[in-house]
Amino acid sequence: MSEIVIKNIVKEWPGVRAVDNVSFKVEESTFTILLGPSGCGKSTILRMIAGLESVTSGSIHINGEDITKTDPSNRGISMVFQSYALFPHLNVKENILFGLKVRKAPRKLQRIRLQEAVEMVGLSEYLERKPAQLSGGQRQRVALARTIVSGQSICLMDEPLSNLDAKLRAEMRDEIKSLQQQLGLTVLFVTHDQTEAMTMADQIILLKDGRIEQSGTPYDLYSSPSSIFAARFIGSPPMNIISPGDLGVVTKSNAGNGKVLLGLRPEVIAVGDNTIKGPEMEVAGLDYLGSETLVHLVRGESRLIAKLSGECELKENETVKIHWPASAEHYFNHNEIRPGQ
Amino acid sequence: MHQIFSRQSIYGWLLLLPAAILLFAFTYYPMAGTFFDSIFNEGSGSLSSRYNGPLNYQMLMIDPVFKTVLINNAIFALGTIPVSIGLALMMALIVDQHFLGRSLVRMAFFTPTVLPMIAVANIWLFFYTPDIGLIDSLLAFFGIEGPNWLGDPDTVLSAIIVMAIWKEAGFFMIFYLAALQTISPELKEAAKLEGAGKLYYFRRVLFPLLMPTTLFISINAVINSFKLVDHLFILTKGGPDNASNLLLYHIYETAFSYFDQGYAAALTVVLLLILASFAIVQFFFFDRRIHYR
Repeated sequence: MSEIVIKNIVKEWPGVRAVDNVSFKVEESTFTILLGPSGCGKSTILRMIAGLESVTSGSIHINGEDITKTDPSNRGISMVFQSYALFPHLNVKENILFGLKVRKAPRKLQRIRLQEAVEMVGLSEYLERKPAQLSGGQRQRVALARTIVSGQSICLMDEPLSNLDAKLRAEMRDEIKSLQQQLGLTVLFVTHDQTEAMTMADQIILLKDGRIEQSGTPYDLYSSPSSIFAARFIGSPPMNIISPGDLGVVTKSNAGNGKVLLGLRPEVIAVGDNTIKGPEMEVAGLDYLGSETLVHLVRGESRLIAKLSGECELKENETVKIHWPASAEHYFNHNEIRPGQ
Repeated sequence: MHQIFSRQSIYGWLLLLPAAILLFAFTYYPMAGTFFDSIFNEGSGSLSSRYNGPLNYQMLMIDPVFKTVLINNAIFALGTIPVSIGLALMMALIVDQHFLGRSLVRMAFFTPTVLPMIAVANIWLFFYTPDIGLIDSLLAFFGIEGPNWLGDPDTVLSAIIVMAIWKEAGFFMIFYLAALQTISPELKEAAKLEGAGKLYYFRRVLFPLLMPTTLFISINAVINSFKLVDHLFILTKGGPDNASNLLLYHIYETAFSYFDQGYAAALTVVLLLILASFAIVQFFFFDRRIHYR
């Protein structure tokens, strides 16, 4: 068993409450992502779990044991740092075996673990190289190998992909995910990138200003965001939030109360000529992305982005009509809380 | 094709010229001049100087003072270099941490470096003064009769070594401090998570990463141990009985008190050779074993 339970954790620095009463649970052998904009406290939470940062109040439990004050090396965790934290004067092999050497593991075990780990991450040919002679992706792999040889079942990752270029990032995403499944690791992963969160996570914990905004599976967060913040943080381009009155439409929820805001994902909006039924808008701009086109639409104060697949024949300043299925509507209050919650 | 005197390379040579002139005028020409002086004896108003071959160097062999200053200088170097480097590293590790009054401590460690050696010598002269000096007064308080630190051939060199360490360590600390601040704190955290204690981290990670700095400092320390003699003017003038005399001070006395320029030049050539060989050994031997980023 290797689950992490966080109970009412708080981190305060003089004058700042970086983490404000956060509780969550990471199930064994699952992939949980702490997601949020910079300064939301996600890295602080990770560092508190690792034991690199003290906890102001609350408790951290690993495998049912309170480890809030345990030494970092005795918590049964490994960690991948944002800049990988490779020792620049040691070669790949020495870097990977650093922890086992510290713990004075038998040489035979070291050799076996090293062999396994480097094969898993594909570093067999680079064992004698120094970190400076490796590419970003290879350094990342060394950091992963270090986690693998440690034999710990819990792995904390602090934005490990943020130093890689887009193509490599997508590759490493797959690799980390499959490694996690292969080894049955319990992973807690910090990122500000919603794509990473959507593609890798079993559970996403969305943070804002040191508090949990919403948590759940990627599907939950995408299909039923609990606030405007959650709606706009997840999904690219973000969800359109409009005031239905401005578009001159009557929806089931704004019939009685004009203050309700309507949320529409860009991909649910259909754009067409007079043959479709819906409000009129003007095309303000087109972003052609190859497989899809983003259409910027305006009407008075209201702005929308519609995502249409493939090329489209619309032109700027053209007047079009838009339509969306009623089932795709999300409603938010002005104070950002969803009615009924 | 690159030619030595193509238009491009003339620009290159011209750009190098100011530095080359300075280096030549103030380093290479005096070095060569010193060597020539060392193989001629001193001329005077009525006698022109003339070639006397290796005579000055033969004199080195039988000069007892030369032997004494060499031994003294070796003791001085061995006494000051390892201790001042070790102390510098320790002080840097201390002031690299966060604590209240850190800037104050940093300043205190660095202050001796800012003071001119002459001033330092005057301060320590007060410490070392027999009977009424700071150290002997303290000892007297406990009923111990302190020695005459600078007047006794047995203690004078050690007394000067202690002072030199006090003066040097703060200077070397700055280099270590600068090097420590370039080392990512994540390394320490990663080591901590792997279960490495402070000592293990220092031995396996921090110290190897500081090696380039240590090499730089040690070359400087060697040079300084031969170069720093200002304090001798104030404290002992090399005495008593040459017990605190160092090579450079001996050269100074030979040249400007005894006016034997030729012999002083020969001594200088020896000094240059010693320093050059140290630098070469340190550079070529240690350089291979050091990780540079």
